[in-house]
Amino acid sequence: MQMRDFSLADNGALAGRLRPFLLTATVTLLATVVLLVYATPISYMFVTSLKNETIIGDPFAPLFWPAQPVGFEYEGEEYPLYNVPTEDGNQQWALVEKGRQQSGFIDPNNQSAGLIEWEGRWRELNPAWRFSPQWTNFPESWERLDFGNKLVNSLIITVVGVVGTIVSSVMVAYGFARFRVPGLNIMFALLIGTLLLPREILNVPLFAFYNQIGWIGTFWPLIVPHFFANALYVFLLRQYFRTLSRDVDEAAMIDGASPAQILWHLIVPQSLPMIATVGLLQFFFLWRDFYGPALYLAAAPERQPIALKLLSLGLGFGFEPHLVQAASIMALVLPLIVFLLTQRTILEGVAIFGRNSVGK
Amino acid sequence: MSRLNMRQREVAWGFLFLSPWIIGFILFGLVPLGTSFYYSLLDFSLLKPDETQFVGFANYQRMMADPIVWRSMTLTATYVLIWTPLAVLFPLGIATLLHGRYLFGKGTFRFLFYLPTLVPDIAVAYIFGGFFFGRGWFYRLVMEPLGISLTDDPQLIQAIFNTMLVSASLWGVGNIILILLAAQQGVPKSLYEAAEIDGAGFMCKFKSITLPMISPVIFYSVVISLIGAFQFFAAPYLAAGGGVDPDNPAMFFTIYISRNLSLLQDVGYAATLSWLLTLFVGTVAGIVFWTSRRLVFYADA
Repeated sequence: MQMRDFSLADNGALAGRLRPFLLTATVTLLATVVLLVYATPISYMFVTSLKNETIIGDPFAPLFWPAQPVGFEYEGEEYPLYNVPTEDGNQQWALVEKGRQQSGFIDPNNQSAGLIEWEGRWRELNPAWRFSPQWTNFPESWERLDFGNKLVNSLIITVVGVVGTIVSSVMVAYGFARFRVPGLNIMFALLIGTLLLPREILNVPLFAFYNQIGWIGTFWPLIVPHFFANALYVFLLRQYFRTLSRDVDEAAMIDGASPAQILWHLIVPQSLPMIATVGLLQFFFLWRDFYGPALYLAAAPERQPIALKLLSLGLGFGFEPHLVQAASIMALVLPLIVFLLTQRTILEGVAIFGRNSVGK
Repeated sequence: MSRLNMRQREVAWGFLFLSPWIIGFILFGLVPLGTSFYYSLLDFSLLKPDETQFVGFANYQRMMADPIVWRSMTLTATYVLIWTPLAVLFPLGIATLLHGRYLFGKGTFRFLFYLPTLVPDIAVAYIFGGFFFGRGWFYRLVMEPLGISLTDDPQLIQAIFNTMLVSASLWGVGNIILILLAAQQGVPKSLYEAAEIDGAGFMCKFKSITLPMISPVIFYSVVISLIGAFQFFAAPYLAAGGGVDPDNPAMFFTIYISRNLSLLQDVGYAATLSWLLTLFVGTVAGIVFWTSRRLVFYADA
């Protein structure tokens, strides 16, 4: 009786230790499977960027890795290697003499044996492939797209846009959070309402207007509107500013500090993670945005950012995919580095937003 | 006297801080909105601005009779209907996985799930176009194992095309994942502990605690995804070849507006079309807001 009790207790302890382990294994496996499905196209991007055009067009070439046919030099000429089934198993032989029913091969490991006659159709044989990434796609793509210039364009559009967004949105959010101004609620409702307006309805007349003042084909239509506050970020920042204590503000006010000084010396320092998050999200958005540049810079190749210039490698699918994918990777490098360096800040900022929104 | 001055000062400072938005709202909101309506009543082309004429509601009549309007509107509406739920449920699932206490290597997973969101829109379109193209990756990884052979069947081609567009847009949901993750982390632990004492399992806790507590953020995600879905642009633009051929299968409504605006420079008709889009978005947003009043739970209210 006592023995049995012991074993039961043992079992329970084992299950207690095993359960978290099994759960961790299951959940992690599930996440891995989902991630693999979700991110397979990323592997497509990397693999394709390392292939060359002939291989992409060859239906018999390996699909999932960058391959090149293997050649063999024999008596001063280059011959392709094939996988030839023989009595001694599969052999990699060079095809020297092509024939309909039989062909002549050279065994690279045993050249002295001379031409080997093999019965069968050489067209049904699999060529031998070796792993051979085409790194030259990257410089070629860089040159074709005039990538350096496009990088500068992207940087101008995103950096100026981010600065404009931050400065104006912080000001406006502070206005909405701290000042009792007549009509404040109506203005706030209008602000939220603009979030729902499709950008097309505003861009049609703006396009005609910019056309009139000669702004089509310049950076101005992509930069100037950011200096007039972004409704979404004003909303996020205002929610956060409202959670900050007013006591310090009021003490500073009594000491004669102006609202501008309070914003700069008290509110902004307390809100840095939130402001940085807004700036970073806007940076990633502007870097990837296609709509604005496509509308205003379609006819000005020398001012296009990368996000639009990629289009010059071919409208529609299937044109020079290796160069397109190499360029995509190059376009991804900068936001990737920025994200890796600032991940903590972004998560902190988003977490503040998440907490503020739950039950409030 | 001094009280009144303080009050006046507050109002003046308030308007000063609000001024960027007020000016922007007038210049880039109200004025374009009014102008857009005025343009919709004109026969106005940038190619021949001197021949601009007031035509009343002729553009609207033309729109009603335009078969491409109905085809592209149906395409956009179908896409919105399919994509919006996916764009919330998928990130919700990922966020729940990332939030769970049993996931090993959380930071890495979080980074890898966010990574696609950093890829430029047009690159995403190229990646998915190439991935789904012909006998490529999608054929070998999905269709072949499922025993579907590649034929010229237009229905099959359309189905592959739709799968491509929907999965391509799922690459932009990183921010929604982060927000839904943050919202789950913000739910007070004490609620779960109380439920565990009562013997609640994972599904029960998720349904009765997590979902109601994060419902405001889910609502926010629905609205953001909805607006994004209506404005879906880069992938169809690439697939539709910039909208040059009006009969192509990727003629979303935004592409049709852009075709009339930047390609044909027909501002009057583009303005008319954008009003239809606005009306449509407004109606759908209204329905969503109306239903949300019953579905969204505010803990403090």
